[in-house]
Amino acid sequence: MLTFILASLAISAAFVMVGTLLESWMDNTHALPPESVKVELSETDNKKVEETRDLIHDKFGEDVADTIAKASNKERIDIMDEFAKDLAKLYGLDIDIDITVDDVSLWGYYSHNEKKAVFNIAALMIDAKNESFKAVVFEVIDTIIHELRHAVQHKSMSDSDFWDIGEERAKLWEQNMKNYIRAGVDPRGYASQPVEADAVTFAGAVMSEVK
Amino acid sequence: MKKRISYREFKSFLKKSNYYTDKEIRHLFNAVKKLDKETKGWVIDWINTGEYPSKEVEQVTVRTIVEDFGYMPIAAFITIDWLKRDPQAAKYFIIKIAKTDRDAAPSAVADDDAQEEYICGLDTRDTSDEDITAE
Repeated sequence: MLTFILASLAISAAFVMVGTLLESWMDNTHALPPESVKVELSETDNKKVEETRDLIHDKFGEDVADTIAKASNKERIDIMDEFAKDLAKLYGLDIDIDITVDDVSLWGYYSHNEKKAVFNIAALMIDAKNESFKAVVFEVIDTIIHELRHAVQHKSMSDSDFWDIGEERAKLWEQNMKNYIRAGVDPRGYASQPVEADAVTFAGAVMSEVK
Repeated sequence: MKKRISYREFKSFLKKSNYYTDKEIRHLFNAVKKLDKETKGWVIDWINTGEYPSKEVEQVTVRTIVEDFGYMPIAAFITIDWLKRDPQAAKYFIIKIAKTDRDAAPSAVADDDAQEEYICGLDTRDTSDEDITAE
């Protein structure tokens, strides 16, 4: 319970690490990624985008934020855990999913070494009346899709038939992973490198139609 | 004050932070060369004097990005240049990056060898014979 309370108090820190400035930019999180960073998705990718939207609809109903708003903190964890596990299954990924609520600054990552995706949903432990609530819900779902897309990228490097990724894209991603640009080194380079641009585009394509 | 810095000076300066690999320093040398003239001048001034420019871009300054967002200074200069050129994309990613581990890299495929030919990711092309200049 204490974790939940602390997490609730820390929601400001999740998005408001730079005060009101980021809040004034928050609308950007609802939009598709800007055209300048989007990459082309394949036919199979687009089919998976549709299937992901269907899964979101099945899990969260017509109004995603409202469904989460009505759930208790415990239920929110269970819902996101089930969603992430079902999504990994839908994507054909044999990986572990770990949901935690212990950090508001790191929302999720995929570790190929451990074959594990970790999602930190501490930011969801807030009052639904919080003006950032819907944005937080969307960001949590976006993060889950984004990180699982990285898992798909990794799997395609050893099996380019996976998702019909093809040798060219798999090779490009492999090359990128070997020469990965850390966000802390060059934020613009980080955003525009193939593996990140692809994951952002894929998750954005899903979220663009989610209500 | 001189508005030019060599690769040797740049590398020696960034090495002091103990944050960057050699490949990343080479990448940053190439990235800084691509900044607009004004921002490049700011980078050179900062290396020489430690001072940040006071100019605001999209309501933020380099100092804000370093002190409030917690970015490394060179990353902050790149972000300011990004905000000037493509504010929508820069803002979108500043928010995204706020919830990621900025130091993370996919260790499973880490490779310390420089690329023979630049394809994507870190730009490790050797341009050390060309200075960064804002003259």
